[in-house]
Amino acid sequence: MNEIIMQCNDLCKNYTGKQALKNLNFSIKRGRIIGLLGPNGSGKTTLIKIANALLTPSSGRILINDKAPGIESKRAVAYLSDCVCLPDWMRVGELVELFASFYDNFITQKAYEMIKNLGIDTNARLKTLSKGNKEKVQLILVMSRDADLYLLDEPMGGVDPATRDYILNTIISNYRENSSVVISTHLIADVENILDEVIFINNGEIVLQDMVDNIREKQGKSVDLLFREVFRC
Amino acid sequence: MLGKLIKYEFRASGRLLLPIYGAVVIMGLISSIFIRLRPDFSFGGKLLTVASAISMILFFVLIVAAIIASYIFAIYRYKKNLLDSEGYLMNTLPVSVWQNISAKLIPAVIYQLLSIVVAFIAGLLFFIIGSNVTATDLFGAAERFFEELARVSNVHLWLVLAEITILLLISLATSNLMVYAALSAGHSYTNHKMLISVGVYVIFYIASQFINTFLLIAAGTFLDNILTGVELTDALPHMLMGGIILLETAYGAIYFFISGYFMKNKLNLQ
Repeated sequence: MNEIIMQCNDLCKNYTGKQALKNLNFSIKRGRIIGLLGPNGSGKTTLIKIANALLTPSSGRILINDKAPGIESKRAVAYLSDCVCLPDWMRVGELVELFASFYDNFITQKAYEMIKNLGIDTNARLKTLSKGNKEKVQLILVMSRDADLYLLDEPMGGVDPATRDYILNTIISNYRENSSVVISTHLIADVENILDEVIFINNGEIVLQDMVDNIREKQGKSVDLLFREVFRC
Repeated sequence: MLGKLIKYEFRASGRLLLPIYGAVVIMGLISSIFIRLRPDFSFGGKLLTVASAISMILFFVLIVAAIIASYIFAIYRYKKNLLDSEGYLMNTLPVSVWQNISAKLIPAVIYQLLSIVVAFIAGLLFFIIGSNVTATDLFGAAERFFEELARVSNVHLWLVLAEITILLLISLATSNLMVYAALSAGHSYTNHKMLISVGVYVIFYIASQFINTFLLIAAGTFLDNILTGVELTDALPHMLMGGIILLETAYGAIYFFISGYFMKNKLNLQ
């Protein structure tokens, strides 16, 4: 098994009048929890969407398990979008069954366990849930997959601190030796303790990629502090 | 996987369409019963006449609404489920774009066909219940009409019916695919997605009209040459029908390919 799970080669994405990603070259190894950190509009979401084949790159390529995004990579990647994208007319239980029927690596029992722990009614229609609970359901569905790569775009954007802790514990407990978790966020203080590695991205460019322990040892700073210094306005 | 996608789509579309179809049948029954009762209630004649008129208007409005809804909803489902927010889910499922498009197309065509069938059945019920004509009379008359038609014109009735059914199915599929292709192309742009989609649709429409006109003239000239002095054969209408079915199929295949191309290579979910 290749040690590298995701790789970007000269990856560029241009929108009308704006270069969202500029020649990105980096790779992500297995068995790590990685923070994709950057201010708003830095290119985090664009990068994750390209990895999920929701956007097409303007040039360059992205490989997941040595393959371009496609059916194979979609089996391997569990993606949490930055918005609630589930059909809101469906009941929570029906969504679990939907995921179970499409993803071979979906663990139904795990999903129901997490739903129960968070006190969400499986018979409730998604549209009747609060915004926070909708996000929880979406995260549960993603984290109940036994995937190779988890791409989580702002997983804690709209939830309360107690749920943030639950989400982080969920991420840690689902973390396996051969899988990696990429968490895109700007809430660094919340995730810092669980990260193995960080990638700083700004204006579509990688500013820094390093192990968290190295940052602490060499620079004597927390990731949060370093982030504030690097991205000072 | 295609079967699972289709099953999901049937449920999603059926939630809205099936109650409308049910309402058409119920309204047909109600309005036909009003018509049937009217002569027996001379004392409440005015009120009953008004109620009967309203129910009839509602019935016909519902028929039109059901047919239009089946078209509008097909477009809405494609856009919302594949090109808007729900597209984040559908386009990250481990299925091909061709499966995703087919899973929208097949239920859409079936629901559109069902809307026509429901309108026909409701109309038939309305006619049978509301008038003194019995179902036996009606079917007997239809049978005699077709027998007479077959005797006079030497038409193969089942062949004609099969051709019409196939043409209807293909035309429904092609008209949906034309919209899908326009939406897929339009949504590959960053801005003005809907405006561009409408523009692309207009281009498709004009181009297909241009090609149809050209082919009609070409076919006319060709037939003119080969049929000079020759009696019109029985096979000619079937040949023409076959030609139209082939042409519609070709359009459908092109639109299917265009939709898939943009979904696979130019998807731009923002």
